[in-house]
Amino acid sequence: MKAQLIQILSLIIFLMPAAWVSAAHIHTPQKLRATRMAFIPGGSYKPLFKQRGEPAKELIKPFLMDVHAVTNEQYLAFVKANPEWRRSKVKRIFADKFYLRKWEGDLVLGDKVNPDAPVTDVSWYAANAYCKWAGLRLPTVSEWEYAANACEYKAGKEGKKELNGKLLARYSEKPPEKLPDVESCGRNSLGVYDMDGLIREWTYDFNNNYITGSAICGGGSGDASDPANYPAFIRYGFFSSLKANYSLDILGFRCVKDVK
Amino acid sequence: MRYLINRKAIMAIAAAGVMLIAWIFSFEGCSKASPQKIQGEEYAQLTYAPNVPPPITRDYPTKVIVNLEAVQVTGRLADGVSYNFWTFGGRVPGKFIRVRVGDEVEFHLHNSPTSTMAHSIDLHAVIGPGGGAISSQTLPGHTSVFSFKATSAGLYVYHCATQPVPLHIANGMYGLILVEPKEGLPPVDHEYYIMQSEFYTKGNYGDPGLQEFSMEKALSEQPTYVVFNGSVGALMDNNAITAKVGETVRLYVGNIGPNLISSFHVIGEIFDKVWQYGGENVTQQNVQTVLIPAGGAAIVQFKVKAPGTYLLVDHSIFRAFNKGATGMLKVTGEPDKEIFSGKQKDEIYLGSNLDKELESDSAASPGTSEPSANPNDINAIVEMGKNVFSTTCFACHQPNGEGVPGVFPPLAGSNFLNQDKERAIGIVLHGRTGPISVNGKNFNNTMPPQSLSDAQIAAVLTYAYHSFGNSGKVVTQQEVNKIRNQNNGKGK
Repeated sequence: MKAQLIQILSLIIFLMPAAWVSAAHIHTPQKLRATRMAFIPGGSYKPLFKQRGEPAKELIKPFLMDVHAVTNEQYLAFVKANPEWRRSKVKRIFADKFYLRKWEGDLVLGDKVNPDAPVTDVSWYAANAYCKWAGLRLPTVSEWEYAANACEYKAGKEGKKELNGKLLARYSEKPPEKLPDVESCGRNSLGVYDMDGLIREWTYDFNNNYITGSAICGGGSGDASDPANYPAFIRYGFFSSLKANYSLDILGFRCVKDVK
Repeated sequence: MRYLINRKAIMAIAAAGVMLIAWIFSFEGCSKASPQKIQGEEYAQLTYAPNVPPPITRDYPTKVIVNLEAVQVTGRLADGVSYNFWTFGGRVPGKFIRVRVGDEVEFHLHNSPTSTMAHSIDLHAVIGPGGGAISSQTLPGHTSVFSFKATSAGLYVYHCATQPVPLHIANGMYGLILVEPKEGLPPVDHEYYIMQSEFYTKGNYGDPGLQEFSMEKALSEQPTYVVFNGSVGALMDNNAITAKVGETVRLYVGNIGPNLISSFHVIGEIFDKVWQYGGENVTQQNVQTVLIPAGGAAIVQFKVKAPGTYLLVDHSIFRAFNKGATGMLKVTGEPDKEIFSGKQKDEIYLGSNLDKELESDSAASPGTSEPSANPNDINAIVEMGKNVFSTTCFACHQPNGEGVPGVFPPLAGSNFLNQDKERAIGIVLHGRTGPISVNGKNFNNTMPPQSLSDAQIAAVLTYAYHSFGNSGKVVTQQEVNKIRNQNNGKGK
């Protein structure tokens, strides 16, 4: 069953012309610089944690995903159009005091940030508002993990091992003071970039039951479907402590769109 | 009236009951040695290994505020080898915390804004879910505060307990917290903090450059490095811990693993006192090696009596020799010859022939199982003797039997050899040390005893007598055997 799925998936991936992936779907709301969106074919995904009684695998519907995270420049356009999301105006319940802390001013990026780097120090509320404004939405945890684990589906166990090793190394590195451009951290087989390494990314349901459940706290690996998937543990462990108004230096986001 | 009496009786019984309860409570209070109230507050003084904060002089519990920061740093794992450490306080191991039993500890865990992930702390000194881990999950740029009572005296490990816990530990997030008993620990001259841990890197031991964590090695529990205090050499040479002869040293030793159990030993010392598992009481005296479980600790104490350098090791000795698990204690002062003499002599040892005896014990009788030539065929005997000579004797006496002037006496035309056949047999059997004169020249050297069978000795001597212009004597197996037995009888 799984083997078949992998075959079908790899066939789809193989047959998809790259140009079609990138050019056909472009996320161009209002004044934004365009972000290409990649087509993520549907499939099944095995979450690290699940509720008792739920099927082990979750079905993912096809969707479109920004190939890179929202940049400072793009977020600046959003803030210009939406004064309530400016640093000096935002309400504390929607964004803590770290919100956009590296920007020089409400509408000035300044020297501490790279305009083409992912915007960070943004809260979940802010990320959610941006996606809505752009006519898009935040990905679910499952969608994000599914897209991030593309290698696993392509290369099987070995690919997964390699990906995990790479991710652990990246997670262990201290990020540079000033983040590099988006698309500088590798493109996976689904055509999306930087799915880990550059930053962590908000998801729509970051605080769902699987994540805030006791399985994540304390020492054990609990009911995890794959106790050796350390990168996923790191992401889940990270999200388990998050609150929706938190803004962190290494936390940004990207948007997705349903395929009609 | 009767009613009244009854009422009085009931009241009396009730009063007695209240008094009894009060007495029980007071007794209970006494047996707990008068529970003390928290007085005042102070900030914990934390130290990096191998240093330990000064002993607590308070005789009452207080509120102790601990500030510890989780921070990720790139640092030295060995010479030319670096690693992305995750730390408590910027170094591995994390800072040493010292409190007193009964203290109320207000713990502030800060996570640096530059961290790439959440961190937390599980202190084994804490009674409560996750040892504080759940209450201290902290994102980068945040601080968590929680409080706990130091209920139980002992030496405890602390470590990060954010998922995936093994990775946080493997990358360096651990340290020790000491909860002193209320009367404190006996004063000593030196206290040191030592923590053993493993690192799992993609490259081999010593491979230069920034090394990545190896999931494969960690899962198979085969560390690349086993170290004291966070890196190879952290306790060596200039970083060694020190003491003077006559001083007492106490080591607070932790082992986090993450996988291995430590057999902690100080080469050339005996631990006078051991608090096994880091518990409150001295559990043994005069201990050579202490087993420290992963996630456990021990306190060892000893008086240093002889100057010199003492190696701290994990006595699973390949770890010490090949993976970095060594440290040094340098002791200065005057030697006490009664405690340790140092080297008194270096003498030549000729060997006891024990190896040969053990070998021949398992054979039927000495010499008989060895290759031998027909005793009537002198040419065969000389031929066999030549073979023995050219494998055993020629290196010193030289192929032509001339020896080396001043060093090895000659056999060629040797008056010493030709004078006395039995003496020659004895020398081959048992060796000889000291001055001799051969052909008018003096020699003062050692010939070791030769592990040869009777037949071989007979053959090689016959060969020597038949060569190099010598007297042409024949030495028989029986003659050799006779001298071997004479000397064995004498010698034993």
